[in-house]
Amino acid sequence: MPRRVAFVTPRYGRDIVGGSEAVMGEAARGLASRGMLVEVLTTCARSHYTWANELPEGASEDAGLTVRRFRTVPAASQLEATRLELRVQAGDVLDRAEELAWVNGRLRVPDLYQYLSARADDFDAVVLSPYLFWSTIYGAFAAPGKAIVMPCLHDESYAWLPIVEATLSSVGGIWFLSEPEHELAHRVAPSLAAAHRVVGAAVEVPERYDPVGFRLAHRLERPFVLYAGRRESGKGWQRLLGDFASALVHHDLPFDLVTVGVGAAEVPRGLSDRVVDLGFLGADELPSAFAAASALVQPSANESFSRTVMEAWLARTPVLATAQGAVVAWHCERSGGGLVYRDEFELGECLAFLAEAPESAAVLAERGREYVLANYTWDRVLDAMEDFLDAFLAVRR
Amino acid sequence: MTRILVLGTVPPFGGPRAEALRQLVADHLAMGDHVEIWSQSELAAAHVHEPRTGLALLARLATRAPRFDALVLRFQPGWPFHGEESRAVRAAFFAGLGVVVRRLGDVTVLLDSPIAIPGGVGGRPTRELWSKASVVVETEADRTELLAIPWLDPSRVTVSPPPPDGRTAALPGWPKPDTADLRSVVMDVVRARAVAGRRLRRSGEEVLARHQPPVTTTAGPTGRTDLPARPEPELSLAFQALRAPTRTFRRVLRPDLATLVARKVLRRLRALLR
Repeated sequence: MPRRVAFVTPRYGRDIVGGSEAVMGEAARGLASRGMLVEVLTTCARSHYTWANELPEGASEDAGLTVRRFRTVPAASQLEATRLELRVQAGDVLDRAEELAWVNGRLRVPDLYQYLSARADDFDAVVLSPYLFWSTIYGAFAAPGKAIVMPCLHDESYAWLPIVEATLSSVGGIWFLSEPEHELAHRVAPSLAAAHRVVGAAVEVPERYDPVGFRLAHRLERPFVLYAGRRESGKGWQRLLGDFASALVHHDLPFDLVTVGVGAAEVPRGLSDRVVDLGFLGADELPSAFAAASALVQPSANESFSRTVMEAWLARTPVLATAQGAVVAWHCERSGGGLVYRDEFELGECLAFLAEAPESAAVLAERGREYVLANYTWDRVLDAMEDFLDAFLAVRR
Repeated sequence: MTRILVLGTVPPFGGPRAEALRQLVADHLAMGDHVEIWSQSELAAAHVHEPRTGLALLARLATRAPRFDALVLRFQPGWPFHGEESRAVRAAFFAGLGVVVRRLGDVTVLLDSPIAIPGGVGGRPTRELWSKASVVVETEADRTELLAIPWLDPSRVTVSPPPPDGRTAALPGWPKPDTADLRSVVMDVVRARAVAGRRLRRSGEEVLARHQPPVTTTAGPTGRTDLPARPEPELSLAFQALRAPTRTFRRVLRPDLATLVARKVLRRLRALLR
């Protein structure tokens, strides 16, 4: 009898921007393609800013799996939610009631909880991600023995809330995307759930790239470095703008900074002629954006895997990443294919390296590609997930 | 003593061209001249940070230039043209600049290579400028391009290549593609070169702190006090005297009317003083 697995994620869809959402979606479809009965339990929301119910409620089919959407319910008091959010970001200590109020302040999906509580026995395992959302924390309560959390943990103030420690200690199993995330989890939750494993994540290998066509389509005449992702200060975007401006002051650099993704880019006026915002790109265009770039810049310290880094390397594009991000720095070191920078001076020198030694930069990028193909293809990751499920279910029987 | 107005980016940042301009300023100071520097970059050790470009910059220049005997103007990327001005605006700028330089004793134009004048260097509106200015270009090709201008005296055009970037020359080079442990070697070079960059910034900040140049972040009156004062003291006093009652009037009565009256009085005073 085929295994029955539920994937619980706050957003689901091929046009949703978010690392955890992408990994959950692709893993769900991948396991479904291997014969498992997979249901995705998610919300009707498309935007993680508003959590508005934009997509229709109810069940639908997508690539061999069932997608069941539930309506989000807004927080009772936005003012209170904002106040708690600011306290958490400031590293303030909350009591248990305040923590739960904080979890409830972002989004709530009570119908999803009710469904999961009533149908938990229909599933062999329930995979939930990422760690800081209502759907994961409450979902884990709904099916405690069967819950496997894929936390996508970052070293940020949210991670150190006691409720996160409690969740990671009480669930049935945990999937990590990288070794640094695994190490962080042991620090966050010393009594981590016994069943845990670094399963990794993966990216699709595109069939083709068209860098020339991409440049023509977007009228990009000068060489550029790429930032792909959400334009948010938490993802390092504002810091990158400052560092890039500083690099331009210190070096005679040929590069523009091109950004793709969601969120307001808010480019300062003085930089507007060197920063190009292309907005959201579809999955058909994105690989070519990576291939057309002289490098991908990853300024985010809050990464538990970083798909964009893998996608850039696959496109034979060098990677420059902030040294503050433990996971990406680990990938760069382990692969021998990426450079890290600690401040604007080192970013400037990394960019100067790209401009002055492109042949050496290409060698680094090639090593990055070999690293991705050796470690982060879906075949390997799905094998690891299936192995984990075998062991997990054997213990439960 | 010559009073010289210098427009262009000066160190601590800006590379060899900024350094060359700093050297030129140092030479003039050594001769006992008064020099005031306007730079677009907020990081430059200039007396005035002037972000305006095009006609707005020209208007500012027109009001300040009469206080100086000489002008050194560097045409650099983004300044005085941001690059997207229309042809008409560029023509108006050059025509206006011609009027400004007519009243100055000496004018030197430094042209970065490639020449940072969008749309070409010639045209009738540039006649006054090129007739008067001594021009320094960086390459023979730039000189050839300039000599196509009929009213430019070839003897006033000199070629002076920019000095090499001494900072870069002293830094370690990038490894070859076949270097063993390539990433580690690149990271070592990145960090070594970044140390030099940080040191340069620290030294620049120290220089700034030591000399405390009176920097204004927006284009306002220069902080230099050792230059001759603006020759309109009576008008300034009159304006200050008017300012306080005008504010009260504006708050209590009809603000628009108050502004109109104040402006009218100021215009009258200005006319009388002339």
